[in-house]
Amino acid sequence: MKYSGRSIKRLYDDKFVTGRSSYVDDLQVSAMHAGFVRSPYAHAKIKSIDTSEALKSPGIVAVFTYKDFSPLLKRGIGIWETYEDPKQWKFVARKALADNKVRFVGEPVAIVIGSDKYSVRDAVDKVNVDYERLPSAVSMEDALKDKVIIHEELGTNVGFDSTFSGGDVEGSFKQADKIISVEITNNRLIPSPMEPRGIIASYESGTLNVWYSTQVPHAARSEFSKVLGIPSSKIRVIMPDVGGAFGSKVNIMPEDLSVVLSSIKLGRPVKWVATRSEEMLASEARHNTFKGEVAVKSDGTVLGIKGDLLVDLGSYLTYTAPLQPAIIPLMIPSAYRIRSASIRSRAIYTNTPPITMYRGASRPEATFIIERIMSTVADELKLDDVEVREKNLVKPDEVPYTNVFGLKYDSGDYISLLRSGVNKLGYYDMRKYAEEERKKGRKVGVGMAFYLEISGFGPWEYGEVRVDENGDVIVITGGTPHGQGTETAIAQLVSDALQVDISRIRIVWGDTEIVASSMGTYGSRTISAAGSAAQVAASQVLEKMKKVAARIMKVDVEEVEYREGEFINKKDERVKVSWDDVAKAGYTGTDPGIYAQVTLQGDVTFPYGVHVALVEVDDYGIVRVKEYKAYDDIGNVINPALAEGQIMGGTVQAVGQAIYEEAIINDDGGLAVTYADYFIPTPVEVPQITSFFAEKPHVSAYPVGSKGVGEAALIVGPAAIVRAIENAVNKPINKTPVRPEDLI
Amino acid sequence: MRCNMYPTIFGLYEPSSIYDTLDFLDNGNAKIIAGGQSLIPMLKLRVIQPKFLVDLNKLRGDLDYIEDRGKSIGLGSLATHAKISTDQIVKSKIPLLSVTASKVGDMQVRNLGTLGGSVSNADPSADYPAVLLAYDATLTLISSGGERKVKASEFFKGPFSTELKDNEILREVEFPVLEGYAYKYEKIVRRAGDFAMVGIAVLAKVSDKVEDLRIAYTGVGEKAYRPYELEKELVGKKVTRDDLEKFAEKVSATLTPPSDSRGSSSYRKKVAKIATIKTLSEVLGVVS
Repeated sequence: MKYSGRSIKRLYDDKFVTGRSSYVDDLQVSAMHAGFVRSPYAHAKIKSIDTSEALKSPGIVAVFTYKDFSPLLKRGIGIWETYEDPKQWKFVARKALADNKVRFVGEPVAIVIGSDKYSVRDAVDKVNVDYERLPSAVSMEDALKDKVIIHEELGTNVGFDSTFSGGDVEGSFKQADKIISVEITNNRLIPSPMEPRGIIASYESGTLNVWYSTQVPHAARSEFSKVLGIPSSKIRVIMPDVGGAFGSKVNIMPEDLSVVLSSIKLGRPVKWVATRSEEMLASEARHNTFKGEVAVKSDGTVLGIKGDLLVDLGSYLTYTAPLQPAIIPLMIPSAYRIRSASIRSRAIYTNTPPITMYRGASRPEATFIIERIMSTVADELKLDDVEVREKNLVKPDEVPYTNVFGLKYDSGDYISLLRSGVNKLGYYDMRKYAEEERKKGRKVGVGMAFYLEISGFGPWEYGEVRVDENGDVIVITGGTPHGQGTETAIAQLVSDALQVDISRIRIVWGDTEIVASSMGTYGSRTISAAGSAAQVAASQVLEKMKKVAARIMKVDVEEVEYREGEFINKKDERVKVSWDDVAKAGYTGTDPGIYAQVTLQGDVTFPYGVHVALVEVDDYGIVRVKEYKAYDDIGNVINPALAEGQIMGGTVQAVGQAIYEEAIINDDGGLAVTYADYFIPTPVEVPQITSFFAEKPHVSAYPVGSKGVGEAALIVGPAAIVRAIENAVNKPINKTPVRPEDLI
Repeated sequence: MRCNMYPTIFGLYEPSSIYDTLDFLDNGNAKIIAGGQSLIPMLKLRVIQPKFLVDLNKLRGDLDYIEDRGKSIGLGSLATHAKISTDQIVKSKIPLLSVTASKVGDMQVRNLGTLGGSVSNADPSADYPAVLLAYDATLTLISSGGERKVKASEFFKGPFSTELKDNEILREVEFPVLEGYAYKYEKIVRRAGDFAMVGIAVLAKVSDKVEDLRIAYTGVGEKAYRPYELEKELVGKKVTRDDLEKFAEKVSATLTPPSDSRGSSSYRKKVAKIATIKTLSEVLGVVS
């Protein structure tokens, strides 16, 4: 019985649905508690910090500031060099606590350590910081003027300035029948995992143990090592159950570092779990604007795009923020045959909370920009949305296709998918229904959007398979599932490779001393990268098993065939030996041990699809997304239920981004919302979701042939929903979120 | 910037009778907790830092009554939103309160939150104040010194501010039974479970003309608001769509709603106007 391709029930969910999972905050470690003194100002000089009153507070053991930590730091927190090039950036590596200045409201200035979190919270109020307020630059427009400089060392607030060009842009604009201007904005969001971030650090005899709500334990180990000058071999990072991350927990926070440093200074374990309001500051996302022009022929052919992209960084460059300004331009051409483009991408420091990556990181922005462009072109030329896209899509015989910026798309048939998707999703019927309803006075609208995304992200992933003497299987994966259920899909792949029952397989991850090396779970990569590594390791283990079986049966290994739990002598099929017996024999005699470790290289891959949304806008301008339909080519689908779960989760967040969620920053640079009015969709706001996967998928080069689905619906959803709103109210919209007051 | 979650230290007192409660309140520096749906967040945000909490939950049996008194219905202040929204007496005798209770917060809030808690808290966007104004409900306040009765129109003073003194608790809200009234509570929210961006409570007696009209708003100012004078313009008339539009325009012009993340002041005024026309058309049976 083959497991791959089937909706196998998730393996380890009992503990989650019964409330018995162990997040950082649930771990019973005898640790001191940490709390942070935070800046009330967007920009101010720190003149002095008086900790004496706080230290007298009951239960308080220490208060540390920048001065206490700086001697222990080799450098500040860097950027994710696996994917990001420091040479392209102007940045100051962020220290554990604010140095001589604070640069956003909420920046940690001091850490208070005490016996319980209530005493710590009381003592936080007793730390007296004397500030001298400075003028601040809260908006990108203000920051661009460079009147207020956020990092003096840099001399400018522009952290990244790079122009991506290809083809003959001027020529294409000369040939154009029409030039269309666009301005497109994604406002600031907050990823909002259910579990806020948390960390426990314990430093003993030169060894640092860290329990950390992260999605990248090895990257964290490496960064802690570089920052602290402690060899990686003496740092262990353990990822307990993680209650959601959405990319935000790749980020390494100064607070995390402060907790580690405190544990080193005190020689005892220290713990910090962010409050909700701290989590809202810890990772904010998106926040960028594209202004440009599009050269088109009157038949809808897009000849060229030029424009300016401004990406807000917040006040510091985080570990993951460099991705967005570097990848958004590359992905703006999407699956369209746009042969000339010039996009200047600038990333700007502002006196606001720092930006991190969030589900889709850069592809939602690129997709929103290009799909707004396509829809605007359709409107300007009075053409059909599908027609305009079909006219511009790369033809099947042009794939593999290298886009205008040199990015190579691996496989796909975009036009066929668009056609079959539009049919399968009933797009034109829905449009007709919406039109009929509008005639009756209801504001119903239907919109579609197409996407091509980049996922997988190489460069490699780790997989290890161990068969013990009882024939049971442990799979150690470099993937770091944190809610997606990918562990079940990996078990399916290994089950199939070894032809053993899935109940005999245990998947393990998230501990730097168990997993030899790893990249982790992000960028829709886990099935492709970690699943493939596990599958290859399984096939290597099976080869070892065959050798053992050959030894038992006293035949050459070439004569052994493995079928459903039995190793068979091909020459005489009556002679066979069971899986369990081979496993037992594998730990006796010569060359004992049945394990394989694989570090499998990989590359980027390009899933794509078409999504459709149906919305209704009421008399007050309040939008309800009623139906959402997805048709995706994500390569091979290992577990359709898990993949569909990703489409559903992505859709809910797409609804949030499109019409509800906005991390409003007030004029003083403070975050103006809490979870009382930062509107994350509840089940009531979730539309009817239908998800289909292409019946004949175009596979990736990864051995399992999948491409990735983790971010798809959030990548394309906002564009589809916004298009549906435009259809409902017959009014152009070029930003997310769409607020009710934009519509009446 | 404070990152809150942990309240300051407080003592917890669980009185065994209402008299114990009132005696304790006379000592000052105490806050009543019933459902805690607003109080707990305020404690965590350190907006309030009381020395003591007085937990009324043990008194629930005595104070969550719903009593049919013929011409009026008395509701004990500890009646939960869930109880009010499912109670048959409330449903048949004071149905506007019943439908409103079913729209307070979300299911979790309704299961714990109480009528008295919400009314005493006087959030300018809460649902009940508008309904109390529409019914012209009477509130019974009690202290160790005795009882007094206050009309809803006098009870609500401003944002989170009421007629209640520190040593008083709200014991009961009494609603008149209005026979033959049409009713509606229109609550406009961006997301389920949220406070009203605008809420409109309407009670109207209509024959071939409007005999009585009571319309009250929440979310549009510092406290719930009832345009008593403007209401009269529609009474005694066979109201047309045109009358409604003029009425809604005039009401909207008197409002001073706040601007916040839910919507700007000018948007809320627009919403109040549209909602007024929509709600009154429905309740008064005006054909558009």
